[in-house]
Amino acid sequence: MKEDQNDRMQRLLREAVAPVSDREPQQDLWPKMQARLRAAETHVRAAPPWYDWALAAAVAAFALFAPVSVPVLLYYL
Amino acid sequence: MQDDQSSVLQRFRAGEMEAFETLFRSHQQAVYGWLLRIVRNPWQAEDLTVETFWKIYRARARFDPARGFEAWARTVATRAAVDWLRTQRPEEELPANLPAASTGDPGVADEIRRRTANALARLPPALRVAAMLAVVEEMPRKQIADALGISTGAVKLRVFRALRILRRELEREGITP
Repeated sequence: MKEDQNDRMQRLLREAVAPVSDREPQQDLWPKMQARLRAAETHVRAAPPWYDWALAAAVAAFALFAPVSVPVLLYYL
Repeated sequence: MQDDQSSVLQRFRAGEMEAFETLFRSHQQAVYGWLLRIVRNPWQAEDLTVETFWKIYRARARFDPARGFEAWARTVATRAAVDWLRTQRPEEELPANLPAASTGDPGVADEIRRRTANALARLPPALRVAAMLAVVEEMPRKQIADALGISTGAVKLRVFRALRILRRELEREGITP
């Protein structure tokens, strides 16, 4: 693309799409931000409880000591 | 003043919510304005502003005070905006809730403007953002480069590629720019 074609394309683009002037959000966004932080906190709290991890560890240990049980476990998953 | 700012940034890095709120309130308008320039939809820009600050809050330990908060926030915001643009259908038109150019050359028909705007909306997000910020918004190339995490040369190249694609698209529709 030649230089003058490039300039013409730039001019056309500026004609077609107006630049955005400095604008403020239409509302205070801090309450939304707080809600987002709270939602994330709840999500963290909803992490699996300790007994889920204990169960997973027991299954892993069982599979380690009795590898023949792995296909059976996989079948029931 | 400088000490205040530095203290706020240090407290923010330590995870203090009050410091985060101070930063949020002093930078939300700039981040929102930057995002609006990219996504051109006020409601989406608001959502992305919150998303940007959420990412900033999560990554606070990695914040480098030498780089400055505003530049960092712009980078995070740009990444969030590009990710969002990637989720949009490529054939989607630019949002109509922002005013069209009002001081345009009367020789350029509305139809050509509309087709140009639509062709811009169909560009791949990385090229579209570069063209939008550099050509339409006339933002400094260095600022765009920092926000996109690329060199100024790469910005020029993206703009050039974007314009070349736009030109071809318009030519295919019978318009010679």
